[in-house]
Amino acid sequence: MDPNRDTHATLVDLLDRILDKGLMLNADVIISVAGIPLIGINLKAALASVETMLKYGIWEDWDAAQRAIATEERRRKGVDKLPLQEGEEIILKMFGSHWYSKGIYRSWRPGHLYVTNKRVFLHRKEPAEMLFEATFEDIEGFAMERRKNIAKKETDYLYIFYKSGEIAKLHPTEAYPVKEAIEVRMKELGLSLEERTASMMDEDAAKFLVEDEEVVQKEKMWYLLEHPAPGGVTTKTWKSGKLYLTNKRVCWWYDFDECVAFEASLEGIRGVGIETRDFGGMLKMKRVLAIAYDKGEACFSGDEEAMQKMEEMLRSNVAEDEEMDACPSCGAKAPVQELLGNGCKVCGWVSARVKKMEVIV
Amino acid sequence: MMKKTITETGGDQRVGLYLYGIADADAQTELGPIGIEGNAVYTIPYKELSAIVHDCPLEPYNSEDEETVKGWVKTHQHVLDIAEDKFGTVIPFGFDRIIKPEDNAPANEVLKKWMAEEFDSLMEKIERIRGKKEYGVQIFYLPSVISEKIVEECEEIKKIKEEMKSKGPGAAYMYKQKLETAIKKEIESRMVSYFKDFYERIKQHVEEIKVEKTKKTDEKDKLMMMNLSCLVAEDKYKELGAELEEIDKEEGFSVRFTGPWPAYSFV
Repeated sequence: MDPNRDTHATLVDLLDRILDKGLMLNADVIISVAGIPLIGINLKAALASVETMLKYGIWEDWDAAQRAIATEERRRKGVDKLPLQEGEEIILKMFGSHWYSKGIYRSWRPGHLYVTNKRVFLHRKEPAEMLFEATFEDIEGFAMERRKNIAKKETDYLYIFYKSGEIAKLHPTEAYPVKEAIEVRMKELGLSLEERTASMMDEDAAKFLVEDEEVVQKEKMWYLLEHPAPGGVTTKTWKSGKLYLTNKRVCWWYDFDECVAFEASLEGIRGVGIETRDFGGMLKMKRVLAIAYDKGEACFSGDEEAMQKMEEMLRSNVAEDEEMDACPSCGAKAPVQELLGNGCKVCGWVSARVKKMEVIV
Repeated sequence: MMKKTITETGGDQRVGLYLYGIADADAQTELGPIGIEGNAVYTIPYKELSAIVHDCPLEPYNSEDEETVKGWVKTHQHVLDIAEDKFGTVIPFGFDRIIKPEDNAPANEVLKKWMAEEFDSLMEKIERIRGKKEYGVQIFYLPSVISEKIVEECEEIKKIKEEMKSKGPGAAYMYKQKLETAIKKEIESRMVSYFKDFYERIKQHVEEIKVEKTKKTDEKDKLMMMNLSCLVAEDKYKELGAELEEIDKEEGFSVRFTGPWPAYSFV
């Protein structure tokens, strides 16, 4: 049997979904449609649910009965049961999520975080799945990091370092009690723990850092990525990622593709500056951090504060030495800016642009 | 198609944003005049997500004309189809969800603020539905066929029928009632076991299942006994189809299988 979506009967099914379902929004951000007869009477009749089926048997509230049976079936199958081992006791239970990362499939997966006398795990009820699990013997140490989440609220993230070198990232409602519960239990079991620092936890940076390379500064930044479009044109799109300044280079990590999509050696950097640019459309007068380097120019954008921090760090780490060039007339060496702006001190040559300006003045 | 530059209409205090869905893509792009009433649909990115919207006046789409509404609904669905083709996973919104501007903020700012506040939960929803589609499964039964079957199979009912024959016309009415009650009871208990059986069989092939309200049908002699929304992994819908075909073959039952839909019921 093949699914169908283009007949009259399926239209009812579609109406049912589109008019009644889909993601809900808080009433205060949308135009309220309550009380407005949105759809024609006949359409409403088509969507009406069957309240009674008494004539043919089936209980008055068959719908409620069905749901009760479905819940009962689930319980009988043990879906709702937590997969505890024998002799395992729960010490702490709390809502939390685990950062799952495999190729491009990355996300916070929510469930309940349990600390038991045997292990730490994050379990999701529906559909039932063990999202994260670590026995105390596998744990080498952990670290906490206080970060502002997207809503600018400060929350704590808990990182668990495995002896194998892997790192698990957890976000419990309250990180401290979890950390404490693990510490207490591991002490009881006679296991040692190491306190780690937050700088060791940048999983993305670990993927591209070379030997002896260290992150100096990291900020979340958008990057105006140029990519070829059909017809030989290039289009520019803002992509989200992180801009890193290391002791060797400046590079931008593209979150979605998980790769370094821009890099410039520190020697190659010619200048940095924050300015307002007009990209047209919705991006009129956008504040950008522009980095001029040996292969051209790159544009980044982010929080004003983040851009300023990055600019400052870039300035202090990159010697903005003046680029030298030869005078086109006599060949004497002079800084480029001086040659272009004031002309050659040796032979008196001035650029065509300056000449033009002089005429206007 | 001529490329129209996105104007900053979303920033206007008199403009609302009709919201189709939230896509798992950090794209700022235009989808063309494919929206309701030919409006230009475009995306508003926030971090790794993008809202799919069109600019609209500050009032909901509303009509008493059935065909008009059907047309709007179909267009809403069509935009989501295109968005899914282009971006992959999309959280669908229902019809007529229009973001309004607030005192000091235009609609696009309100939308971005909402996306920022709900970011974690939106990402969770994206993961819940990634690589999956929603299908509707409705199972109908023919009461006449089922009750005939019951009369044939059920010993108790057979007995009442026999007794009925031997009694005079005066007692017939009482027996008829007795018979109806017996059939009704039997149908009830059978429906429960049919429900359990079908539910279990369908469950094997889906990620998540929702029991929806049963609806009226167009055909008089056909009643809906089950109405399920199923979240199905992309490579599993054929398995589900095969299972439903088996159920469809059972005497007195028929199945309607609709979709694939965006995951309206699982967000």
